[in-house]
Amino acid sequence: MTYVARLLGREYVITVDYIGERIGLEINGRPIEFKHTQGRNRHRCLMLLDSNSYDVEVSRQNGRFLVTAHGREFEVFAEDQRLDTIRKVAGLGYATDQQSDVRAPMPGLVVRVLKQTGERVSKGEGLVIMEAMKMENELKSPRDGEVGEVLVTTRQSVEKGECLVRLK
Amino acid sequence: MIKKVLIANRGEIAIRIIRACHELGLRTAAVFSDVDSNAFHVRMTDQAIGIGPSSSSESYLRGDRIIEAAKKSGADAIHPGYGFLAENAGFARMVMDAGLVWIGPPPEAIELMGDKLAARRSVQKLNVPVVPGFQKEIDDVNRVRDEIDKIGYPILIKAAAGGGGKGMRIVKSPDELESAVKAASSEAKSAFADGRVYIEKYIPSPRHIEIQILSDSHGNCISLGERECSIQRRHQKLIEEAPSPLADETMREKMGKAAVDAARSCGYVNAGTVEFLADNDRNFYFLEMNTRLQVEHPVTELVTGIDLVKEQIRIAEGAELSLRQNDIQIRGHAIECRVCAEDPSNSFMPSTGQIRSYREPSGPGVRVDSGVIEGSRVPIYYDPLIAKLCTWGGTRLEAIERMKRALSEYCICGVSTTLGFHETVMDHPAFRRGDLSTHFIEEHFGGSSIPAEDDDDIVEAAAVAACIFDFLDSKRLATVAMGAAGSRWKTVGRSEALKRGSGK
Repeated sequence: MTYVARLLGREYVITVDYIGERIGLEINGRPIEFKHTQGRNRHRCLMLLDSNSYDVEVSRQNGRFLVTAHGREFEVFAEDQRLDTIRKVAGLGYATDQQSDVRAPMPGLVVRVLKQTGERVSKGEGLVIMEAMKMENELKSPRDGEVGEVLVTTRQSVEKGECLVRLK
Repeated sequence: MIKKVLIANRGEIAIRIIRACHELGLRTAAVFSDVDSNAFHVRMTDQAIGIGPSSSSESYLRGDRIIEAAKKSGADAIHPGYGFLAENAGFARMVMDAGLVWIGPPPEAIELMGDKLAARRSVQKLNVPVVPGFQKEIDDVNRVRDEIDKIGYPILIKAAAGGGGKGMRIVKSPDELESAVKAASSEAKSAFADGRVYIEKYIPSPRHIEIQILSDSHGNCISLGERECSIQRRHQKLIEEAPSPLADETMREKMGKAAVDAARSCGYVNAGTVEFLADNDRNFYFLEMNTRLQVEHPVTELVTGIDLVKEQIRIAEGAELSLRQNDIQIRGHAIECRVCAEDPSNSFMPSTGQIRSYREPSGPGVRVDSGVIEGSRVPIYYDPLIAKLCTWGGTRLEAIERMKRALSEYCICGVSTTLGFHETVMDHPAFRRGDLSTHFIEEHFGGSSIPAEDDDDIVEAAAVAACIFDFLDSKRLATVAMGAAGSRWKTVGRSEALKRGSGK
């Protein structure tokens, strides 16, 4: 099976398949010597990529993968290359570009809504200020775009994962 | 003599205190809120007592319930840790009135040092240097010019009633003074309805250096060297080290003496910390005294070899300090990184949730004081500090390299942490040079978010890990589906058997 994986503005075409009992791996068409050992917990595994050792942890979250490797956390978008091709042909853009829901990272209170429906926003611009753990935190836009919908109002309390703003 | 200690705290500091008690052969009683009933500190203690709902105002801040718990457990002493009730003189009195030993300073010392202006006056009596300045209503700037000349420019104008930077102006030369005072005063008036301003010497890139002291009830007081805590964000310390890269033997001795004097000025007993602001010419000024055990106490323990918590307990028992000032030797260098459940790439936003997998670093020169284990929850109610990672090295550079190594071994999955941020700082040339100031984060990392630097190989490995996970998941699902289809024979067989009426 061939995947397209994207993270941090980089793109990898990764082919994974069983060769007998072993897993064969190619990254961007380059075959890699690969060994994979899964622990009792299926989220945790040891990978040897051309004998480089990576002790990793993977989980799914909102259609993405969270990967922890060497003490760092990465958000990976990975999908079947065929789906990716269909998207491109249909002009739907990449999976990464479609992240449009800005969600509450923790339960808390909306202190201020900084952008209204229809306003243009650029990546990193503040959308909503939330108070949680006695601190005010600014939630920023994940990308350039337009505010499609604001789902919360000032002084409203929200749950973790609740959608606050939808980008168009 | 103390036999059982109740620890009025949670997380890593509760565990730190439990460990000291166990080494002294003392029993421990812990307290916990509803959300903490399964927490690591509850697993580490001999006894544990629930004290109420998750919100700290209904549990860890309820002095009455904590004293009740102490009575119930048969504890004869209370250690408050840091935060919560540690600097609450009223609670200290309640503990003593209940006939329990308070492992902390006298309530009068807590009160005096808790009032910033009273503290300033108190230490000045013993000639401890304070940041030069004065407060008065300035209606005519020209009348204070002489006084300001004595302090020397640059100066800082602060609103007397203020906070949060409002009404604050830096004045570099005398000709800027008049307009700056006017602007600051009117800003203060509109923000706080109080136009009074305060004038203080401005220290352009101040360093935060503090002295650990130990004082017994027999009049002995010693200093245990300094810690530099200049790496801060919004006045929260992130990285601390001992000794300070700035301090030399002369400065250390002078600061040590000033700290002991500050402690004496308020009749201090037990472990305490005197905080100073220092400039790069090694001038230092009293900031405040923290009348408790500090978060960053382990770096002092690593370079002096003294267990501060055990000393606290001995002092509370009324013992005389077994150490004299000459016994204190600083050996090597120690660094502490505060590992917080926060996301440095997103304005250090708190991150809560469950720690799915967890592995601590170890090996030579590494110390981890953690409040969590695999499966722990990081609740929204309390401080985001989940662990303190310390390394010791023969030299500062060795401690830094060891810290980088330990950070890369540390694996915490399920919540965002500041581990990656610390790695970035350890690599920063200014940090490595020891060129520190409390503006370090602002100056070197600009905005509020700190991008992590990523190694190409690790990024590629992360991409592979996601694909492999999905691949194995889809194969697994396929197998399960096939398994279900196969089992239909059994279902049919069973239903046929039932029809025939033979249950067995």
